[in-house]
Formats: sequence, C-alpha cells, structure tokens
Amino acid sequence: MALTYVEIEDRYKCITQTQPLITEVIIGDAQNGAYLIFLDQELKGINKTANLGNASNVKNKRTIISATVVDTLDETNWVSITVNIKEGSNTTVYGPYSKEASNNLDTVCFIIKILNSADSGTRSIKTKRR
Amino acid sequence: MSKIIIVILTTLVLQVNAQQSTDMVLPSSPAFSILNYEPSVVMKPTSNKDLGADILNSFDEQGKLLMNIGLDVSPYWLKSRPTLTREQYLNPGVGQCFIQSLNISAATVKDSITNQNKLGAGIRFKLVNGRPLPEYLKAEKELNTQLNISNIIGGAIAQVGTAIQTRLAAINFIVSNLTALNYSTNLIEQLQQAATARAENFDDSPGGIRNFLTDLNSTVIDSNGALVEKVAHLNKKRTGLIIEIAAATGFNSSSKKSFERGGIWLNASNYFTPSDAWTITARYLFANKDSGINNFDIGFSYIKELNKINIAVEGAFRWYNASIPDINSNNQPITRTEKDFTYRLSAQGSYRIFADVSFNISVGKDFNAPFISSNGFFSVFGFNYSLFRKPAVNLAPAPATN
Repeated sequence: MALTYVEIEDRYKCITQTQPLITEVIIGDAQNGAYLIFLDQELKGINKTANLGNASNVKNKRTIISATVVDTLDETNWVSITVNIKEGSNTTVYGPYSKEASNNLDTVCFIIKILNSADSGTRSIKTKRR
Repeated sequence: MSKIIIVILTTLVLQVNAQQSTDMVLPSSPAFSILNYEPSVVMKPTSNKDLGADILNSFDEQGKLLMNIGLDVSPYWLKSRPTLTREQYLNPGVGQCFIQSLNISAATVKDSITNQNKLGAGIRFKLVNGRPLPEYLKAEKELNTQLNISNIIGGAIAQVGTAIQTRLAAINFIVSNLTALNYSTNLIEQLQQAATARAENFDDSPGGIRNFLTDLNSTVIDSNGALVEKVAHLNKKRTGLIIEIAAATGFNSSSKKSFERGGIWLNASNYFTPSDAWTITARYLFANKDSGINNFDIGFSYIKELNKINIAVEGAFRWYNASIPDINSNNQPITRTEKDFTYRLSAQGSYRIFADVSFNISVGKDFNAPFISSNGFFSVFGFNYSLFRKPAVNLAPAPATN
C-alpha cells in the first residue's frame, strides 16, 4: 500500500471583480477519495464545491487542493483529479492530473496550488467557456 | 497404508465431484470456455501500449500466430477515465454499465490429438449491475473521513516555506484543522502525540518539515490498510438485479470448415442481500464438428449463505439435438439424430469446519447424455481444503474518527 505524491503549481487570473470563484474538484477513474480546499490557510471546502469569494477576496492568495485517492478498483490502477474554477459563466479547467498507481490499494496524494491573480496571467491551459 | 491412500484419493475425487455445479454459470473468459481450454499464458493488458505489445508478441518471427496463448482485455480500462466519478461507476446506466464491464477474450490452442490449430473469441458484459451495499457506503464514508486526515497533512505540506516555518507550526495547523472538522478529542490527542514524537527526528528547515509531514502521513495512510481492503472487498459485492451476457465462437484454422462451435449465455441474478440470491441462466450451445450437437439450457438456482452453512438448489432443463455419422445394418453411411429433453436437479450444501476446511455434499439427478442410457442420479460428498488462502478481510467496524 504505497503512498506517492503528485504536486502541481499553477496560476489563475480573475476574469471579473464581482463574481465569486467556485472551486470544484472531480475525482476520476471511478476511484475512492476525499479532498479539502484551502484558501491559503483557511479551510473552505470539505469534499464539496467551495465558494472562495470574489477577486478581492482571493487576490494574491493560493487556492490549495489537497486530495487523497486510493486505488480500490481491480479494473484500473489509474487515479486522477480535475479542478474546475468557475467564475460567473466562465470555467477554467485544471487537469486532469493522472497517476497510475504501482499496485492495487496504493494511495496517491494530490497537492494542487493555484496562485490567484488579478493581473494578466500567462497560463496556457485551455479555458472552457460556456 | 494402502487403504489410507485409497481413502485419500477417493476423498479427493469426491471433492471434485461434490463441488461440481452445472456448467451454466457465465464463463469468466468465454473464449477459453468455448475451446474447453485454459491457456498456459494469458495476456491481460491494462493499457493501449501493453495491448499493442501483447498483440505483436502473439506472432512468431515468420508472422504466424502462436498457439496455446490467451488474451483477456477490458477495452474501457485501457486508459485513464478522469471524468468517470465513483458515483457514475457505482450506479451506471445501461450504456455505461455495458462499456465499463465489457470484456473481450481470445485464445489459441493446438489440439494434441489431431494436431489442428483452434481459435476462440468471446465477449462478456453486463447491462444491469445492481447497486452497492449499505455496508459499502458506510465503509466508504469512514475511509473518506480517514483520508481527510491525510488531506490536512497535505494542506500543511503545501504551506511549508510560507505560512509554516517550523514543525510546531505544522502540528498546530494539523490540530486546528482536525478540530475544525470535528474529529474526536481522543484522535486529535493521539495524532498530536505521535506527531510530536516523530518531529524530533527532523529539523525546522523546509526540507526537514516536509520530510516530517510525509513521514507522519505515511503512518496515517498505513493505519487505513484494513479499511481500504474492506472498501475494495465490499466494492465487488452488489445487491439487486444483475444481468450479464456472454458469447463465444470457436474456429478450426487448420480446416476449410472453420467454424466449430458457438455459445451464448444470459444470466439474470437478483441479490436480495449479499448472501441470498436467485439466478436464472439460459445457454445456447451449438457445435458443427463431425457430430453436430445443439443444446438449449435454461436453469434456475437459489443460494443462501449463512454463517457456516451454504445451501444451493438448482434446476436446469435441456433440449438437445445431436446428429452423429453412423453406419446402418446394411453398412451404409447414415446420420443418426437424437432429439430429447432432459433435466438436472440438485441440492448442494457445505459446512465450514475451519476457515480453510469445509465439508460439501451434493445430491440430485444429472442430465442424460445423448446415446447413453443411465438414470443419472448422483450423491457425492467431499472435503474442501484451501492451501495458501488469502486472509479474510477484517469487516469489523473501524474505530470512530470523528
């Protein structure tokens, strides 16, 4: 039952000044897992979508997603998470971040740090707009 | 001494018989079943890369397909499925159930008597897969509660070098978040003591704090072992209606008349509880060799698993049509055909004496075979002993965490 870490750092540029940032985490590959969402040190979400507030609340703070996923399926050893940040009608997708566990029943800890900025971002990850 | 050996051998033979059920259950690998052959080498690729390599390795240097090998693959799981949530997997619609359970098997075998090459191909899938057990959902919730302890430690790892500059600050971060998540005072104190003791092995450099936290997290993850096994075990158990279908065909690649046999299986089970189920199975098998035999079977069974005793009753009905080349009294070639109906009724029981030893008994009437006259009644018993059996999963409730 080995334990491995996947650590990712990224940026988010606020699109509006007024709309709240809604952070959603999807644990994929049908695996079992749990996650917490922090805004810097403040715990904002426990296994569910978190409202981080608007641009002024998150500016220069880091959204931290700490997710632990266990490979409990015989069918696959893949584990993955996807982070969606919704701001009004805009959704920015981070990931999916996937890792293939070495053995069944192994655990993977994902630590995703996203620096929120009100300035122009240089992020290249595709932004999905609805 | 010789009498003892005879008794042991007889018991072993009876053990096999006592555990024989009708062969109407869905084969796990239909291609192997249709050839009546379990390949010595079975390739089970789990990625597209593995599948490609396995297919290439199935041919020799002259490009000829190797014999006596098998392939067993679930196409849906050949790559990561990041959008498939646990909820969708556990409660799939018909389409999702089909693709996530689809299994394709293939096998090659060289008949050692006729020296002919035979190929088999089969598929198996579910259309309905019941629903998870309440015990599973409870265990999953308990596991998630445990995993959030690791997530708090992961949150601390993310703060090292910024908000967290010392091991004490890391411990305080963990304790304050455990408190915010309403974990029990007892658990928080235990974790705090363990963290304080482990912290002595590290220093307050960013690397030292990080190593301290990963070390602490490893301890937490290790403590989840029994609960993880319990979730993985219960994940395979379902209640409610399960509908599964399998089909397979067998070919003779050394003959112009290549198609040899085919089969279709349909199985519907309804698990009232994980230990209490009825099953209806239908099977159609057709062969096109020297003798042509078509079977249509339909059967039912009821299984009850108690603490030490398992009871099963089965009934199966078979309509068969067999055609065999023969010679009549004038020495002229003819095809002898026999059509009939036969049935099998049986009751089976087993009593678990120890964890690895059980006493089994079967009584009933077997199918009549074409061209053979017998009453088909059987009454057999035997012992089953499992060597190197995997330890049972501890299903005792996990200690309360919050």
